[in-house]
Amino acid sequence: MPPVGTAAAVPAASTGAVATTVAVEQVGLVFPSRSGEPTVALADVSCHFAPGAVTAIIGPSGCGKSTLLQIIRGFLAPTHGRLRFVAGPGDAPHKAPHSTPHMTTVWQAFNLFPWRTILDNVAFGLEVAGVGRAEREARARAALAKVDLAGFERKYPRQLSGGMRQRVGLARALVMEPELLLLDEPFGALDAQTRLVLQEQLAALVETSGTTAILVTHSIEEAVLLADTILVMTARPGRIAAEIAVDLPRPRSMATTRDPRFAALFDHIYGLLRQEVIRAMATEGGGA
Amino acid sequence: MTHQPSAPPAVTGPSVQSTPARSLLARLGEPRVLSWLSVVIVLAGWELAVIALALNPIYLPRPSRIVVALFEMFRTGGLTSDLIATLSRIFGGFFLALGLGVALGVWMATSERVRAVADTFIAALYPLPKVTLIPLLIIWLGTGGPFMLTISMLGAFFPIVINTVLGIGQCDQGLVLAARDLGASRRQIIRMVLLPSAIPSIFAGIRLGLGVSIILVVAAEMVVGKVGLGARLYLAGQVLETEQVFAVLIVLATLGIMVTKAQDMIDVRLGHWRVN
Repeated sequence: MPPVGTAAAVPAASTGAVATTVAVEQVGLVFPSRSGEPTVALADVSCHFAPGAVTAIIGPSGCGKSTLLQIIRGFLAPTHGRLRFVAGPGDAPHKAPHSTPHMTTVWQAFNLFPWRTILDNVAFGLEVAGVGRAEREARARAALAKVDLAGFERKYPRQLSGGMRQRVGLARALVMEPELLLLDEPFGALDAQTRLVLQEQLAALVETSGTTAILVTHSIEEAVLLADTILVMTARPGRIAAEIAVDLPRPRSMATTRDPRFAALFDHIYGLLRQEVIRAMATEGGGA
Repeated sequence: MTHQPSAPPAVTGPSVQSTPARSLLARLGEPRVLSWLSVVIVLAGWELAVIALALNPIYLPRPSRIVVALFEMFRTGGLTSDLIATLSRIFGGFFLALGLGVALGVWMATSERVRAVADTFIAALYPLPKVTLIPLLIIWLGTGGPFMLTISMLGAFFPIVINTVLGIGQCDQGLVLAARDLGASRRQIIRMVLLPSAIPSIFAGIRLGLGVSIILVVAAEMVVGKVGLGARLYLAGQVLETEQVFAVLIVLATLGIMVTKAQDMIDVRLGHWRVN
């Protein structure tokens, strides 16, 4: 474990490169419902995700934070507004200025292929990209070693605990060397203790890798511990209510949670979320 | 075996305390032994009953005679070529059904339009007892190889198509999203995600389908065949060669057991990753 508190407030820009910025411009998602009244999942969301930084999106359940992530990933088309990717000087020179960055996702439900070994799960993305067996296995092994899973290559997902499975999920996403890492409530399915340990490990991993990351979560602690910026969303229809900079020093660990600045940030975000959660419960109660 | 004083300790584990008689009895109680033993007892009882009651062998021949008839049929009666003919009809049609069935199943599961078109036809044809198609197929195809392959294929085709569609439909959508996220193309998703996750279901279809194929081929051979186990069975019945009738039945039963066991073995091999 690296020593805690070496005050390096520079947000994980270890490569010094400024890569693609993701700009979300007045994005909305409205879909028709059976009752006739269209459902507004997202209303007029504007935000941007700084390159090389970790941005957390936090909000009450059903606020559309995962939907926003799916829109950024390109799996859902917004009904309003647009996404813009702006290449930075850190991108490869041949890269078109507004091309979609290379993204991979870590899922709440892990989504590992149960019939593939751990090694073959991690190598999946390389395999579909046509990377030869020897090379992809070597790279998958290296990725597994990074998440402390060396020696589990020949196991199957069901033989691993939840925390280990999500580390496989992380290795599977990171082995692709994404320009943008999407984390969709990655620890939502894990028990509290496993969560703490994994949060700490993920903090260390994103600090060293320097990739741009977007983390969707409903854990305030997780957001503060991992992110450089936190976007707080309102209850449905989802909007960005606040953007909060997290100026806690890195590397961060569980010790960071005892920092008074951590407590202040936590309280501030909790105050914002509390109103939204109450509002969400009220509208859900009224709508149902 | 277990002489108390001077015998070297070559005896392992259980027989240290028990007498030979007791351990033999315990062995006989084991389910595996018991299942074989029961077969032996029934056969012995059958043999003795036929002798004791002096039954006419046209009605019920002795098991020992049936075994002799079976060997004779293999040795000089050309039963081997009948067996080969039947097996090649069953498996020829079955593998055709497997290829076509999985292909159509995948196509139906991944295209709503194809599914809309094919669903109606399958709903109409699936519940139809396939033996009822024998007369029509004979009119169209005659009674040769093409007819036999078609009837065999028809038996296995529908269970395989239906189970392929079902299996792919039950695939966890999260896995499809994960594969897309990692850059898999549509074809790669079908090959690397949808098909592997549908394999248990496809094998359930194969299990059903192969059984129907066997029934149909033997039935078709009984109606029109000149060679094949069904033809042999029918012929033996016509001339009251009851021993030969039983001999063919034994071959068919053995075939059934072997197919079932083979499927069980494949299931175990494929099922090693399945979530329990």
